[in-house]
Amino acid sequence: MILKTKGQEEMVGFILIVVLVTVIALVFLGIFALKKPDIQSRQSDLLQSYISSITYYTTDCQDEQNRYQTISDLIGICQDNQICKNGKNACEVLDKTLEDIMNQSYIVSNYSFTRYYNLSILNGEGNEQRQLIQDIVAGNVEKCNGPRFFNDKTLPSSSRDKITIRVEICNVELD
Amino acid sequence: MKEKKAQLKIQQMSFMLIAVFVFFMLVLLFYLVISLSGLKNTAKNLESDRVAGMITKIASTPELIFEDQPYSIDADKLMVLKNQPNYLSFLGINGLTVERVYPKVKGVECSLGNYPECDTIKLFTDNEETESANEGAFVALCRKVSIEGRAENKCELARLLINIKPVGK
Repeated sequence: MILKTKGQEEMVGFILIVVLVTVIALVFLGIFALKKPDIQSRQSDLLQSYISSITYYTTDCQDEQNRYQTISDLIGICQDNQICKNGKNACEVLDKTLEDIMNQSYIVSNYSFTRYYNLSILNGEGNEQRQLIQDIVAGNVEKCNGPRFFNDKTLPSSSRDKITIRVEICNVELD
Repeated sequence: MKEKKAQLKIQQMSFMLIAVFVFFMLVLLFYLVISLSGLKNTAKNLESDRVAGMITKIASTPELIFEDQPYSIDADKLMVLKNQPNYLSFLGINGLTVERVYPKVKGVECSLGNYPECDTIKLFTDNEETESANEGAFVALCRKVSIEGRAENKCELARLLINIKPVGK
């Protein structure tokens, strides 16, 4: 009887050791195997360079002095509801130019790396922010299961409302 | 009888020790395999971080920047540097490519003959290109143009790619 009890105690001890080691192994597995590479900040940096670069883009819109306006200038003209020298509405030119730029920069399809993007230009601050132009969107954010990245840039302006350009993209999950 | 029991106990103990040792070894092996595969990813990420830092540095060097605008590169300066291989060691890279993203023409590489009606400006890219890592960032590719007799800035969207030698090679 005593011998049997001792054997049982040893078995319980062995099982305890096995359980303990398995738990430790699982913790290590959780930490190292499931850790995603830290690409968040790099993608955000890429978006920051993207937003800054598009604000310098020279558009087809000319002012009264026949100077071609950058996207940054055009946003200001659009805020004032003015028109370009060729008679086109500044907001329409802004919308069309940004749509073309986004189309060329990020290809969105069922087979592409980028599955969704959204560029928005917001006028004002805090709760009073409103869209300056319609958001430029491609793809369906609901269908993108990969990581989403975004960045924004506020354009300095002394006389007009603050402008925030925000770009969000969703890429497909890579193994 | 007692001696036999003791022997059996010792045998049990040694089997137990061997089993526990083998188990720990398997756990260690498992851990090493996982951490080594993670190491490869970490090295790749560090490499990408290094390249991203270099791109920011290169884009803001006086030799390339356009009118002190951040993320803006002077296309004319790039064309001048095409014939200056001495800058290779100064910039600390193997090669540099600026690809126009918008508006796109035909993917034509720039030369002194077709500039600015071209899309890609390549600098020093013949050197060990296959052994290098390509990473990039968006930049505004700007140049001065003459409109009605006065000089104006014209900026387009481009992607700056640099070609560096990976660490340890």
